[in-house]
Amino acid sequence: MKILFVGGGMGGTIVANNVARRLAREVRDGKVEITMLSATDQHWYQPGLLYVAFGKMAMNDIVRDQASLLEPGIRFFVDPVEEFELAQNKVRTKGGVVHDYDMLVIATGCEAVYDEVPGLAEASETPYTRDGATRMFKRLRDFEGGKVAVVVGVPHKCPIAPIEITFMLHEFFEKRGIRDKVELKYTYPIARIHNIENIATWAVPEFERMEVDYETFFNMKEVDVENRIVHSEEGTEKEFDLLVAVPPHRGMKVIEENNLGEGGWIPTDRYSLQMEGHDNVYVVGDTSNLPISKTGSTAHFQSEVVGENIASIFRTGSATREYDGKVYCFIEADQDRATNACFNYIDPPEIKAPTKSMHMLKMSYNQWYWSSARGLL
Amino acid sequence: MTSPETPVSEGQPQDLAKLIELAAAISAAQDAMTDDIVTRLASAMGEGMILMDRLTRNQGLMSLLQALNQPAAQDSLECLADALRSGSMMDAVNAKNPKTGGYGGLLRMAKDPDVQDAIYLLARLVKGMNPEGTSKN
Repeated sequence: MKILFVGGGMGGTIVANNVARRLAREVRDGKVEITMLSATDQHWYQPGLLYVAFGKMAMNDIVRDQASLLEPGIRFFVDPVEEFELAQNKVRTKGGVVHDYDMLVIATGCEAVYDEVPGLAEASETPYTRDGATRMFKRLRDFEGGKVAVVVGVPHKCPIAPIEITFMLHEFFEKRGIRDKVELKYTYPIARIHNIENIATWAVPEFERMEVDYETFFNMKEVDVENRIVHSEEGTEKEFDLLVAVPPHRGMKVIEENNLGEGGWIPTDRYSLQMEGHDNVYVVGDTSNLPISKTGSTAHFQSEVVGENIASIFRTGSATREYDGKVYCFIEADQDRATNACFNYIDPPEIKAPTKSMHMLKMSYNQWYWSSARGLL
Repeated sequence: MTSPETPVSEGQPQDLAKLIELAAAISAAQDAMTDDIVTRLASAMGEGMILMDRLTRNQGLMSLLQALNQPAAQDSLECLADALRSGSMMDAVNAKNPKTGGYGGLLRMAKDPDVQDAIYLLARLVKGMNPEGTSKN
C-alpha cells in the first residue's frame, strides 16, 4: 500500500509519524510505503510566533529540520504538489514527479492573506508570520504610548489569538511601565468579543479589569495608512498609533487551483475526516472546511484519528475511530498566568481562572511540541 | 457504635496541616521558577523522552542489551574491562621498556596462547555478525 502525505506542517507531520509507528513492521517489510511531500525542509512551531512577537522566544527556538522529526520509514521530499488528480489516485509535483497512492492525506494548512483588506499589510503588525512577528517585537519595544487597536479578520488560525494578543499587550505595556500611556482598543467582527460564547463571557470582565476598550460588529473594510485609521464595513472607524492585526486566512492556492475546495477549504466529513466524495483521501488540519477552530491541537487530535484509521484499514479493511471535534487551547492571560479551553462538537469550553501552573504548563509545551510532532506526545 | 455527632478523627487536622504545607511548598517553588527555568527543564525532559523513545524502539539495540544480559556476555565484558585496565598498565611498562617491533616481535606475540585465544574470539564474533557468510570464488 502506498500512503502519501501532502503537507509537512503540524498535522501532516503528526499523522505521518502516527501511521509510520503503527505500521512500522509493514514499512520495514516493504508492504507499506509512506511518502511525504512538503514545500519546505523546515518545520515551524507556529504558536511560538506569538512569543517571538512579544520577545519571549527567539526565532531559532521554533524551527527544526523537517527530516529530523520524521520516523525513519518515511520517504520525505521537498517538492510541493502542483496538481492533484484524485480520480487517478496521483499527484504531480513542482519538480514534475508523479506520485501515485492508495491513500492520500492532505494537510496543506492555510495562510494569512492581506489583499482582502486594502492597507492592512502596510499599516499593521501581526504575530501570524515570521517577518511579522520579528517586526512586531521591534515596534512594541520602541512604542512609547498612544492608541493601540487590535483588529480581527475571519476566518483565522488560532481562535484564541485575538484575546491572547490583547492580554499580552496589556501585560507587555504594564511591565514596561507605560500602560497608563496606552489606550488599548479591541475589535471583533460579531456581536460579542469572541466567536465561542463561553470564552467571550469569561473575557469581558478581564477586559474591563485591564481597562481594554472593546467594540463588536467591527469587520475590517480598509486601512487609511497615511492617517492611521481603520474603517469597518459597519461604517465605524478606529484611529491608531499601532495596529495589531489578526489577518484573514485562506487555504493554500494549490487547493483552490485544483478545484478541491473554494477558498482553499476542502469539503470534509466532520467525523471520518474523509474528503467528501473520496473515500481514500483524508483531510487534516487547517485546510478542511469544518466549522471548528483552526488550531494545532485540532490537527493533532485529527491526526490520531486518521492515523489509527489508516492503519486499521490496511490491517482489517475498515476504520475504527471518529473525530469528535476535540480542540484544546491554552490562553495566556496576564501576570504570568494562563488558563485553557477544551471543547468538542458537543461540549463548549468551561474556562477556569488563570493560574501560574497553567502558564508553566504552556511554557513547557512550547518545548514538548517537538515530541508531539514526532508522534510521541 | 458512634453517634452522628462523633467528632472528626484526630488524624484529619494533621492531614490538613500537611496539605497546607505541601501547597505552600508548591507555591514557593512556583514563585522561584522563572519562564527560563521552566523552559530549560521542559526542554531536557522533552529531549530525554525523544531519546528514550528512539532507544527503546531500536530493535538492534534492544537485542544487543538482551544479549549483554546473558551471564556469558557479562563475563566477557568483565574480561574486556580487565584487559583494558591491564592494557593501561602495559602502556606504563612499555614506556619504560619500549618494544623494538619487527617480524620477531610479531612472531613472539603470535606464539602467546592468550593472544591466540583473543584472535579466535574476534574471529567468532565477526563470523556471528555475518551469519550468511561470504561466497568464495
